Amino acid sequence: MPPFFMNKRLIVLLVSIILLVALIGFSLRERENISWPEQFVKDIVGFGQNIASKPAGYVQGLVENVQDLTNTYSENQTLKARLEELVQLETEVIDLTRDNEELRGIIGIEENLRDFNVVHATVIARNPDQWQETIIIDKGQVNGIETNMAVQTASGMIGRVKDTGQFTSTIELLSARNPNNRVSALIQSDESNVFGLVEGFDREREELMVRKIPFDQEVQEGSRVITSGLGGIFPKDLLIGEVTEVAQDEYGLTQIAYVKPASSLYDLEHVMVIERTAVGQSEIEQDSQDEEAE
Amino acid sequence: MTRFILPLLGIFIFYSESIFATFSPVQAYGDTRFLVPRFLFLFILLISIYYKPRTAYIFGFVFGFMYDLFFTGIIGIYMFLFPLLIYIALAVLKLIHQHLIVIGLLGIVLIAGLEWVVYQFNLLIGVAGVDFSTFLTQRLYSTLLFNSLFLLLLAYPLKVWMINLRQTHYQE
Repeated sequence: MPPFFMNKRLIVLLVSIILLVALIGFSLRERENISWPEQFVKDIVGFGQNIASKPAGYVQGLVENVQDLTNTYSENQTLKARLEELVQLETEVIDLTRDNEELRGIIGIEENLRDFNVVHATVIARNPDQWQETIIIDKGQVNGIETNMAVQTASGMIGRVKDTGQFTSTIELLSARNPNNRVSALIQSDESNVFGLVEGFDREREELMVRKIPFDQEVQEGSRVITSGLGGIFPKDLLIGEVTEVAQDEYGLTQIAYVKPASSLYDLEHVMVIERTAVGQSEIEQDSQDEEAE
Repeated sequence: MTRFILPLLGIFIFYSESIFATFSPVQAYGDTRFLVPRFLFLFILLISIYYKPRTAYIFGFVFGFMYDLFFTGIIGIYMFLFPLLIYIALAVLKLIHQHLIVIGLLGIVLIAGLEWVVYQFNLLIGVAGVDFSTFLTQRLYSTLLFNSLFLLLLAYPLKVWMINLRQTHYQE
């Protein structure tokens, strides 16, 4: 059948479809970080994006400043009221911190799940097609950022580092639909702490879902949800949000808490990448393997 | 010198898309509406008609590749879709009259097609979790409106400019 195979367009189409499937398969497989050619292109594009986003960010900041000015007075009133409470709270915190340090000194625990280092970064781009809930920041491996680190804003946790280049990194937000996107969380109730997993995002309510809460535990609405630090990747005590509703799960065996994220997941400008200093399970396993090898 | 102006403008539009994306989503008529800028595609479409199809294919391929790598992380989608849609556009325009309004409408239809294919793909790999009617109300209508605004403002100036550019290049 010579005419069929002589059709140049058909061959181009077939070859490109094969190439397409291969490339998609390559980029969708599970992997720790992107390969170096991808990092290279990403860094070059990111360099330009960095320059392009600076004036845009400046204009945006200017507009926000003007908007802030309009409600300065009422804000000032409430802030003054809060300030008096703050002094009291501060003395209490200092007292408790000192107390905690002393007690830790006595029993000789040095490591703390709460310890972390912070890298400040600026958001330079958001995925324009807005299917993947990802943002791109202007810090990368040279600034010490690694995959799976937690990312938060001043008001709360927003996601984790998905992949890193030398000078840019991609952040996957908590709202992304990724079955691997799970955060071990802790709900602070009055009597005791309740553990659960942040799994999934309800797009209609625009709220996170904390699953796998034991059915006999009582969870109050309005309680705070923080990271538990038990997953081995994120530090403890990062604020995730506030419980708005508690419901039975689809099988009636555990409960689901709907959690309103503490930080907006849309309007992001400055973020902090959190590096946990306490060793996690993977590092401990690595160490023991090294020892065995020796 | 004029050889570089087209790629430079392309790069500028490429970066501006992600800046425009920060306005989205907006709350309008009681629902969340996503505005997806497809300015780069419209720009490449205008190149294919008023400048040179060959340049448009190269632009579609290169910018699609950059788009995939930098934004979505899934290589191949836009790299393949941009040239394919340009090919479809040129095939259709052989049959119908080439007027700017017709071309604008064709661009809008092709963007709807592009959005639909990307939606189907994301549904397949599990990134998108919305049903078709939500996709229509939350994304498609607002996106088409947003991009027609771009066409309304810039299609005619770009057309005149590209035709001039082509003439100067032919004279050289």
